[in-house]
Amino acid sequence: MFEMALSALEIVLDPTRLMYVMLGVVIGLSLGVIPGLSGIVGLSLLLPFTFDMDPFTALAFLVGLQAVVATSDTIPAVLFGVPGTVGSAPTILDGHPMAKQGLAARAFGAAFSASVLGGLFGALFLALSIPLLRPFILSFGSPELLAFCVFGLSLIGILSGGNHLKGLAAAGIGLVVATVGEEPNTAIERWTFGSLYLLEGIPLVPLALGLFALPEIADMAIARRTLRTGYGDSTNSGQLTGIKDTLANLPLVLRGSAIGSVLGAVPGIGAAVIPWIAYGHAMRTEKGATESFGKGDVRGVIAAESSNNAKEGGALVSTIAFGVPATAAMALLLGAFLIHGLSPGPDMLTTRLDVSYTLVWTVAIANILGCGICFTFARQLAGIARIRIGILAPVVLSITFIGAFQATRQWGDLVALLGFGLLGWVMKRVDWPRPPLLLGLVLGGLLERYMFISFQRYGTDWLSRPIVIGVFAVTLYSLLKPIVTNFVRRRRETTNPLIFGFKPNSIGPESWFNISTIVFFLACIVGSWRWDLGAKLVPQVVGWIGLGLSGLQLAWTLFVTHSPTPKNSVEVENLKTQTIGVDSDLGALPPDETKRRAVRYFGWCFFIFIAATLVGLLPAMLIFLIGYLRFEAKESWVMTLTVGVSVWMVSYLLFHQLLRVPWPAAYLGDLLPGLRSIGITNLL
Amino acid sequence: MSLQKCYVLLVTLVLSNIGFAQVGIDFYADRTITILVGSGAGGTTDLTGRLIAQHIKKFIPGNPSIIVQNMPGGGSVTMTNHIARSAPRNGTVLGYSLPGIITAQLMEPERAKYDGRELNWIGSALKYTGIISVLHTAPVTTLEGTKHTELFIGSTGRGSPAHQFPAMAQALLGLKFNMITGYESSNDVVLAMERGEVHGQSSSLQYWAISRPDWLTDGRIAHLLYVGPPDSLALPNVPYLHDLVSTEREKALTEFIEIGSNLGWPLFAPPDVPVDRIKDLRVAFSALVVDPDFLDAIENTIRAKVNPSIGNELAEFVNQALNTPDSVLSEAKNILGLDQ
Repeated sequence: MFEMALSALEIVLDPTRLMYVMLGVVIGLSLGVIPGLSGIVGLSLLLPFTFDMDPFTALAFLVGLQAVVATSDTIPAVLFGVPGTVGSAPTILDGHPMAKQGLAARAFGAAFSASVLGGLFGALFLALSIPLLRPFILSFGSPELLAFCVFGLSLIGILSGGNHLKGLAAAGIGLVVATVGEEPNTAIERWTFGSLYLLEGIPLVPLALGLFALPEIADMAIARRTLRTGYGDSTNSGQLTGIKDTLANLPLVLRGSAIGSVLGAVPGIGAAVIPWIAYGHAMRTEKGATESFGKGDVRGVIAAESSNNAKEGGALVSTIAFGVPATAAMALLLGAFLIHGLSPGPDMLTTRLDVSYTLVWTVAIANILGCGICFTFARQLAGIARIRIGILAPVVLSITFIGAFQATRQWGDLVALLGFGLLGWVMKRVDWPRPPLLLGLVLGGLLERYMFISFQRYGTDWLSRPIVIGVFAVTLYSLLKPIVTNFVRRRRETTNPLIFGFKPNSIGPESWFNISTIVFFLACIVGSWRWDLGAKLVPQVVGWIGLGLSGLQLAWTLFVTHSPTPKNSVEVENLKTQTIGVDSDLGALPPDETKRRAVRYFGWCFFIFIAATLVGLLPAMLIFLIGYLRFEAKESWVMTLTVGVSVWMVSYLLFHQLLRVPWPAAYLGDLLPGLRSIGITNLL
Repeated sequence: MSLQKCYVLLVTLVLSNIGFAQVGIDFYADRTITILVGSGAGGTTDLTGRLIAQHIKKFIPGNPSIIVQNMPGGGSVTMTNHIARSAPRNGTVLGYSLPGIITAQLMEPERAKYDGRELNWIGSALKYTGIISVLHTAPVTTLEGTKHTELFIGSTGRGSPAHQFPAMAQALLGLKFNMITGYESSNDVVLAMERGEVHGQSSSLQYWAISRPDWLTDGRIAHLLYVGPPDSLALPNVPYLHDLVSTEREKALTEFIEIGSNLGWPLFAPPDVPVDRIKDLRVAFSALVVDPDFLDAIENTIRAKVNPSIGNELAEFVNQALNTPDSVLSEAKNILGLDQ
């Protein structure tokens, strides 16, 4: 086995192959930076080019690409709060606040070094677990996966920061959104309104970009302030501090990597959930994390990033050993295996062990290369944060629009982006946590799937399976522990009376939003009332619970007052903890002005959409860029045209010429179908 | 560059494109054909679409470059809607779909906004033979046995062919299948078989040949029943649904279930593409399905033998399938539980 590993290293270190790994890494990094584009796009685009390569080179190229997407997707997450891929959403929670405090370089240093360590750990896991794989993966049936999803849901409490009621209600919204689409057991279409787009459910990418990216850009545009006002740390030393942070938290890196690679190997959990679990774990176990996470604690970045890269090695495990891809990108890689005449399965562990070890080395080398490249350019990247907001906002916004559109390439993607963008911004303003909503969506589909399979197949017997019991016990422990400690502390100290009574002045935007969540859950209950049991079970349960939680939250806001001076430590703590993902970006801007600018910003967002349906998305992007730069940001014509046209040309070349995106039908194209038949104008 | 020069350049570019469009013979020279595959990346549809793209180009006059794009959704309905409604009608964008798009037009006309009679069918290289297989450890491993003993059959959902065939067989032959629905993909069902969660699933022999070749040879799986065109890999002694039904009604329902099987994975162009280009593409496709390189690639990648239908033949089949009487349709919907 050891000789096999060495000879595989020799294969990978062949100069031509190494060059291809390098090329794959560069492409993978570029894809990770652009929101909405992920390794899947790159793999499907580049697969045909590998037909003529030998299998080792082809796989090294493709695996190299996939292995580093999770390294560079940190960059937009930290700088703009825009997730590069859905896997980097948890990185935003602490990475973006760090950037706002002028610590972008330190966040990068920590993220990149955690990424490379996580990636190496993943490769090591892949190498070591190759002989032990089958029994491990076979021990995860649908009931076990269900138990894991429930464990994942228990993280919602911790991700809601100070306010559990709001967090749970937000997760309820996510769970309801997850039920949109055709229910597989009854074939009932839930909340599809006859649209083919909704039949497949709401895709993750536009939702994640809407929930996180649009609100962040909105607040930048509304505050009209450059990302970092102060320029505290010089970039190099900032990066070094970041690396030191990672090294000082080595045990956390190892735990994050272990979570990433082990869960990555289990088919059916999915890339979007894993970094959340790592983040939640860190928040629960690190000292003082409940207070500092979400406000720019470097440990949050480290936990999320290490698991993010480690999962790639893990995901390769089930692809190689079973031919069961654990993530979407691995499904494509499986296709590449087959085209090159390799059948994943037991062969890969015996006769084709050389291929398996080549993959291990590729993952390791790609991670080192990817991290090196990111470090080299981190200085320039951190510099982006100093660009005037009037220029940065429209550029990031238009790329976000086109990125969201890559999810399914239908108009629905843009509607989803706008809808969830608006929702995300409102939630941010009224201090409702957004991460639970995303987690609810990600887990909702899985939870429902494994629950039905478990009950259909086993009745209630599945509850007695050992792993299920174990996972539920851990879940219960981690749920109850904080409540019990809280209770004990409260008992020990003098309780602080709550004052009950209607508070007329508490009616504001927050209570209006709260009321609309009540309406939402009511609509959910009423709308699913007549469905078959299989289809309505989850919407009904979530609807009623959500209704209760929202109602309670509203009552709390309107009728309960804390006595003026909190006396015990618990409440002092409660006052300190602020909801994750919220900070006072807008400073002292008067509310009227905020409202006016917000309307203008979302007006521009709708303008892109309307213009896109008229003249096509890419042409609309050009009009938007020029319009925003000139008339909103009041840039000079020279600046407007230089920035607008060059950004647009790059997008045109990338999306239209290179990726050959099939654009949806716009009104102008229906009017002049001739334009669609010409390659360079086939944008409508 | 002055504005005037820009304008002249733009007009020249546009004219040169139009110029090409009108010269039939060299139309595909220096052009790129995009094949939209109506499924996610990976899997039989995507793989075979890519192999066709790779091998057909040398048979198209002008040797265009061909790229493949995935447009998943609604069992290829999203992609076919795009081809029928908004793709350019000049032969530079083609569709490659799952076998179910004609069945979808029959069952869900409100979502499938295309008409199979108007699409330009180029050909299908492979047919789909559905086969229900169970592990040798299942309580019974014969069709006769499943009339008395319950078997757990896994599938993705009620809308999928892997559910529809066993469900129809169950109704026609009185079998005791307990359908466990909701798996993410057939790969997940196989994993569930290995863990003992279900006993079997409906898929195809090629599927087993790719995902678990050893199971086919070491007797780990037993085949209960098949439907669709007899498969080149078919094992002897596996019962054929056609042979087991007798009444007109049962035959009609069996034929309905087989529409997708006989259509196979079709390649098609939008409506109104100039006739000579469709002719070129069909000729290229005829050459493709006898090209030894392509046959080898299909054999090596998905372990299947090519079983082709070319343009006209396919178009005729589609017209025939679209004439399925309403009475058969409504009964099929009823049996498959899709009549809400």
